[in-house]
Amino acid sequence: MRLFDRPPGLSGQFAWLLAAGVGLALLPLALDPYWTRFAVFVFINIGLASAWNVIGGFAGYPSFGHSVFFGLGAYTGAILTVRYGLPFWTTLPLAGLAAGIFSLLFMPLFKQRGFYFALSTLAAALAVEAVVRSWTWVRGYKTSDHGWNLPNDMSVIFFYYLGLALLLACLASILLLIASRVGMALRAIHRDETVAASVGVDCARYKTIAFAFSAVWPGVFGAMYGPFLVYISAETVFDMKITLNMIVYSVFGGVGTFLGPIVGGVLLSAIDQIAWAHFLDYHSMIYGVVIVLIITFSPGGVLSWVRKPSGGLRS
Amino acid sequence: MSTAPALLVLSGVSKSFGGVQAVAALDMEVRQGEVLGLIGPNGAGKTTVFNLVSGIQQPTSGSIRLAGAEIAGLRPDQVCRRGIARTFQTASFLPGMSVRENVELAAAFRDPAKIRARRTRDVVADALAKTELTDVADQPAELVNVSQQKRLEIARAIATEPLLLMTDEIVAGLNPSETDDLLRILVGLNREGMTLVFVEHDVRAVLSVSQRLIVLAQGKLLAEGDPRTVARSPDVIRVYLGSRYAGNQ
Amino acid sequence: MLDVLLYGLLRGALYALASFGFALVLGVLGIVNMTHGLYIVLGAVLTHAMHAKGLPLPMAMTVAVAATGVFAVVIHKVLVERVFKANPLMVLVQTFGLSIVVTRALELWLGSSERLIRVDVPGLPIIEVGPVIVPTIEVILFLIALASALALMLLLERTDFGRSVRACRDNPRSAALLGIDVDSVYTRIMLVCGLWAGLAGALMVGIKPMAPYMHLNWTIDAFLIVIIGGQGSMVGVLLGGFLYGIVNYLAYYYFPSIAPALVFGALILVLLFRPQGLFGFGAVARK
Repeated sequence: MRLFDRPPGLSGQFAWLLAAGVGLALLPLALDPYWTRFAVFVFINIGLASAWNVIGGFAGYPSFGHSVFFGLGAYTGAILTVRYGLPFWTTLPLAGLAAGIFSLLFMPLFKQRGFYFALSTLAAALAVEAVVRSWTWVRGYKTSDHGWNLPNDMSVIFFYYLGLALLLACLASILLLIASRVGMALRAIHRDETVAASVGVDCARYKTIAFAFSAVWPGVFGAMYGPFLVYISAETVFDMKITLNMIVYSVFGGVGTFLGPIVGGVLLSAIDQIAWAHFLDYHSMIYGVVIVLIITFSPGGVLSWVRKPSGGLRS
Repeated sequence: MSTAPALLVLSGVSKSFGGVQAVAALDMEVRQGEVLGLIGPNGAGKTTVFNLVSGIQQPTSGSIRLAGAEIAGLRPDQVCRRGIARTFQTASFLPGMSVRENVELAAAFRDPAKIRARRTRDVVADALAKTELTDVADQPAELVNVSQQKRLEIARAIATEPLLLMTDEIVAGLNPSETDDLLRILVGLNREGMTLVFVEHDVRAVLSVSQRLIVLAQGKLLAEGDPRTVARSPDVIRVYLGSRYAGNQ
Repeated sequence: MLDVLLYGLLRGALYALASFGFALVLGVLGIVNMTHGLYIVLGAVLTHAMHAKGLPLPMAMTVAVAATGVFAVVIHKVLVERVFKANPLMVLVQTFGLSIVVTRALELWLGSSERLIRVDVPGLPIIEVGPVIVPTIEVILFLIALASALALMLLLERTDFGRSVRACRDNPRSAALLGIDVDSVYTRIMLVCGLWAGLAGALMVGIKPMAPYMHLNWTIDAFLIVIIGGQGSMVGVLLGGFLYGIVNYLAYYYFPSIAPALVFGALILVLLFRPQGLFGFGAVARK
């Protein structure tokens, strides 16, 4: 007797992704520049949350310092652009690569689990931020600078399509990862590392792969963020709230599922936007209240209301 | 009793935790193709030996050789790939996954050479068949009954295509008829060439399947040899005196 | 050098005081309470606000500490308890969100600037230790902190409450079977946490500028101290506090620009090589 629905095969998932991509590609025709700009932020947020979800949701290692990779990507992109004049197309992958390589330094932290891992990653991220703030070569063009000014002669529409393309690539790569042996290993590691190791899973290796993967995409999005905003500084790109959003979007939508960060990203971005538009002063408070309420009353996330645990794209 | 060559050799293996000496200069061997019963009262060091061999803990001193190669100090996943599979004392299926998916995991992470030699799908089907789990293969692992869960442990272990299978109190919690089924399956595996180390509290189960028996007490080897002879030796009886057990936990 | 060591030691008692509650919550409930720093900040800010309104300092402190304790209990009963029973790891995220909300509310209500209370008690002797002059106020606060630490240790060792706490820490299920109201113990632990952290904040505002936005730093500091000192014992936390005070002072004195990085780096090293803490015997978390 089958109790689980077989999730759609990989090609089915890709088909859905493509359809969504095409639909979104047509969207700017209906939007004014304000909402187009908003959409870019949503794309970035979903990408970040989905990347976090790989290590935090699938593998079960909640990283509380993940914004460090976004910040590193932004700073790498800024340095490559302003100091070395590299074109935009090279800074994105290089920033992602830098973030991925940097994530390998976090490997020793994987000896811990649960809260200890969470707080260690937080401490590590804060340490990195402190270094960036004080290292004059990194933190700005002139030694007195505390941020980077970036050239931007590209339109919002350009960033919309760039953001969309990156997001689709990110999601597609996540689908591939989940369907691969790495995904299988992560599912096992999440449930019981001792058992996984006893049947031949090299846990350290797969945790490293997952973590590096989950660091590369924030790096890429970070490098895109800089030119989009024209100015970056440590406060904006290393902000703890970025990590909090990554986590909350995933939790809201359903942590450990593929759709979770997407659903969470869309809904929470909308709530954030409404709060900002109508209650500016209290906006972060309202947003925070919503988050607290969500987690208090539904730790399983939105998707758990809609669908009983029955497979689907759940890990 | 088998006089086949030794497959697994422990020489001078010791393990201490802080001040407690769990295993003390233990010399023992497991011979190719045999069913070796490993018994001893609580605290004798059986579980520690288990964990040392499977890589979950490292010996303080001594050597552990599998087919001539040193394995002490390897990680559990490395030990598994060298050819030692184990079951766990407490339920260790992976929840939220079906019986089949649990077994697939083990088969999918075999050595690449093994994967080339035999397809994962075949290994899984074979493991499920041998443990009589084919009918419930697609049910969630947490919903099948205890006897089936024990067999899942075995299926998962044999899906790694091991040279040596170690079971840790596998019949605990089973009624006599379920125990017989499980032992029958294990004996069947042994007949096909699988070397078996049977760590057990239930002396009746051990006596019925073991070809050779080793008794541990206080981390040292107390007795070794033919099961019936060993079980009747005064030293062994003395060591068990006062700790009555009925075969079921 | 001697002055740095001395100051570090004096402050260390206050840091330890700020961390006891965190250790208790982490050790017994097994959760990381991200609103912990908020308790400290609340104690500081409320003390300052009431003192500014004219309340004599000891009274302002008492009221602030009591209010913080009540706040901690309310948060626990209304919000955290529910999530704690469903999914303890989520408490981390929930309290994180909560800390942001309450901090913002606090900023809107009482302002986000840093504040410090200049305590001026005339006629106090000047204290000299060798060549170093030590501000009297620091010594007074040190003594108060030490006394509170001792009081807490007595509470945990000698009273029925302390016994219940230890029972719940070792095995909540057995404790419940023995008739201990585990939920009530947890709530009282949160009260203790709020009170002692609030007191730390109320004392701190006399020697260090405090502002609402600092709550996250305080939570992390508490975590650092508990990890370094070992979550199993209050003495460990006390020693951890001293060590932290000294290391912190050293780092900021000699390498001010990268001091945070050094301190966090030290934490990570301890976590990697001695996860049970330098002085403690606490269990290392396994999933």
